[in-house]
Amino acid sequence: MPGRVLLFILLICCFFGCISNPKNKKSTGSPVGRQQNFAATGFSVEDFGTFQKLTVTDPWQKSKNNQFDYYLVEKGRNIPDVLKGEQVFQTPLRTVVCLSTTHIGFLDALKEITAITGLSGSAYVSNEAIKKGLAENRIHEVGNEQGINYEMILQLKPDVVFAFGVGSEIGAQTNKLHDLGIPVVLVGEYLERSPLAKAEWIKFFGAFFGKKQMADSVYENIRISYEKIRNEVSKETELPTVLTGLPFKDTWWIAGGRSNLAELIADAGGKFLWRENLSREAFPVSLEEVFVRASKADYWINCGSVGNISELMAFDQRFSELPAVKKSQVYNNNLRSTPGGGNDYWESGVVHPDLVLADLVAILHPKKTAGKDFYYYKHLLK
Amino acid sequence: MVLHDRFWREAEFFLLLVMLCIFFLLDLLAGSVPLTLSQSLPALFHPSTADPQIAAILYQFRVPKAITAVMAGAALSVAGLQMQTIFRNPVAGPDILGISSGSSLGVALFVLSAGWIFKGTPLFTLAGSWGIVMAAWLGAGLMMTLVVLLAARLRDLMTVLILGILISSAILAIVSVLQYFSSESSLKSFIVWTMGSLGSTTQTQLWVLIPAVMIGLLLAFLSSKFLDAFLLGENYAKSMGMNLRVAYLLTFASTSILAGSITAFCGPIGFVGIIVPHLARKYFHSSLHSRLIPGTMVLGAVVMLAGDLISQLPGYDITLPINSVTSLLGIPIVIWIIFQNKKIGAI
Repeated sequence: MPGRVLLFILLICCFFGCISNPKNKKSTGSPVGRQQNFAATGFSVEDFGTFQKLTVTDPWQKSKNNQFDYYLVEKGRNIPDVLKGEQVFQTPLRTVVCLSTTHIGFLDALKEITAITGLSGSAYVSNEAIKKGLAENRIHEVGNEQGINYEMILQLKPDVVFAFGVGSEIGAQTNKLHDLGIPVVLVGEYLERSPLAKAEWIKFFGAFFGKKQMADSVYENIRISYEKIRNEVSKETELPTVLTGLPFKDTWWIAGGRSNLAELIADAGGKFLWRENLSREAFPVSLEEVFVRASKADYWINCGSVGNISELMAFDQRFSELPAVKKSQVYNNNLRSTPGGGNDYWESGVVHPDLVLADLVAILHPKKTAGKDFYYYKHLLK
Repeated sequence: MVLHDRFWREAEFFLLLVMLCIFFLLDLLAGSVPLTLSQSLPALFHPSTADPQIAAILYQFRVPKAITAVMAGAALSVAGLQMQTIFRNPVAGPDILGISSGSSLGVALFVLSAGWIFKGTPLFTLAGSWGIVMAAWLGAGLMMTLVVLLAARLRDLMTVLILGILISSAILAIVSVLQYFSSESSLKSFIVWTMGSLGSTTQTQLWVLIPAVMIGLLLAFLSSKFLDAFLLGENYAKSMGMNLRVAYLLTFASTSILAGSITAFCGPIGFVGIIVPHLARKYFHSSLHSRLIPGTMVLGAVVMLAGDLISQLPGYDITLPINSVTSLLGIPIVIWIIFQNKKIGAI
């Protein structure tokens, strides 16, 4: 009996001994050039001469001190010894799979749409080239979140899968893909604090395709355009008040006071009704509270996916008395929505915050921008 | 002696009515926008001369909500009472026959699958809140038809009960599948619906809800004698010359109308239908349904108003969904009922 117990303990020790020790962090030397991001904090690009190091920090909600390093080596060059065992990508990438439609926006701006062979959420795509590719079966649906079609991804054999994480459970997905030998890169652009920071991830994508200069110049143009539009209204003293969201049952979900939308409204020369709120996410407010506060709102924007005022009032007709509705100043961001339920605002809108801002300025300060056409927004009529 | 008893019986009922009025008034005062009695009373009785915003809050939001709470409390409690008597089961509730599941299926089909069945047609946004109401009613109605057909064909009531529970489970499995394939925003809408809401009924909708509940309550009252006979068992009831088929039809129809209407307008609200009949039996010290039904109605209304008061969390900015409050209140009481089971054999 004691002999068997000893044997059992020995086996357990062998088992634990087989678990490899955590790798010691190898020293990669100091970078030759470090790109200074204008606004984005979720990623960094460092140039080491023979290779580039991309670092993604905390790419999911409530993540703390999680860092992911990706190394890029140009095709044709030898992979430096110091990168043995690390995740190395040979640039430019040929084929990719995107698990979020926002990634399509970035790749379109880099003119690398043709690299996409698989994506998640094909019903919601706005991009015409992608829709054509889906119809012609050159691009395939790979499922989403819990239902990723790993076999499809294996078949496609992409150079990389661009993924995004909502919570720490993304680890399970990335581990599974690693086990299958498929490289995964986590993209955390949706966690950035400001619209310009989100758009700056074009530089992250640009590095993977060897298009650093193009990415830099596209972003510079967007940034200059955004700041120009912002400056045009920064001197305004009469700032209209803005309501967002829509009622459902007992509550109304209002954008957080520190959300991207709140920042866009402020940059467009508007006063968000809940600007004192400190949350980055949407939060619930009771119908009564909204009814009282919104009696001071001049404009109502971003109201779900409704196409006209009747649809909006079908949710709760008590809000037909709001001044914004009476003065017909309700606008929704679904001008470029697709029959499948997608919305280009969430696709190309992420990489073109200047166009979104221009629309908002046209809504909130019509006198300054008379006759301008909307790109993402539409005026809701009866 | 008889007069003395009678006095106390009427006094019990009268006291309950007074509590109803008090809770109704308190519910009108509770909400995220703080209103004092001095602000609310004039606005209530003279809306044309009061501050328009206060009058709007009271008449557009709080009065409909309080009335909905009264209707929901009364309807669900009476439905629960009937189910507890018919099935002689102390933890039976209005959804024991699967009315709530039927409504859930209707709403799930409407909210979750509109996107991929109708290829993105905003069916949901087109019909909005009325669409959900109709879908829920249809679901409940189909379930009721199914149950009535089953009860007509099967002799044994317990079989009907078991089949009802099984069909409920099957329906909920279908709803899970629908949830799995739906988009995030549809899913969120559906989940919010399942949390129940008393405040989203508008004045127009009340014109439909109140008559529906009244019809259900009337049918329940008409079935008092049947229910009394059931207390002593099916065979006794038959021996008294009662037509079992009519009895079942009446009570199932009443329960379906009551539970179906409330679920259609307010979403599924649990536990109220289970606990209030027990509280009523304890309070009125009676098993006579001609007393219990009106008593349960009023007590149910009081309990629901109390639940709504708590869910408004007076003093805080946020509110709780009504289903959570009734569950948190109801679960300890249900546990207490189960422990008291020996005495409940007297149902």
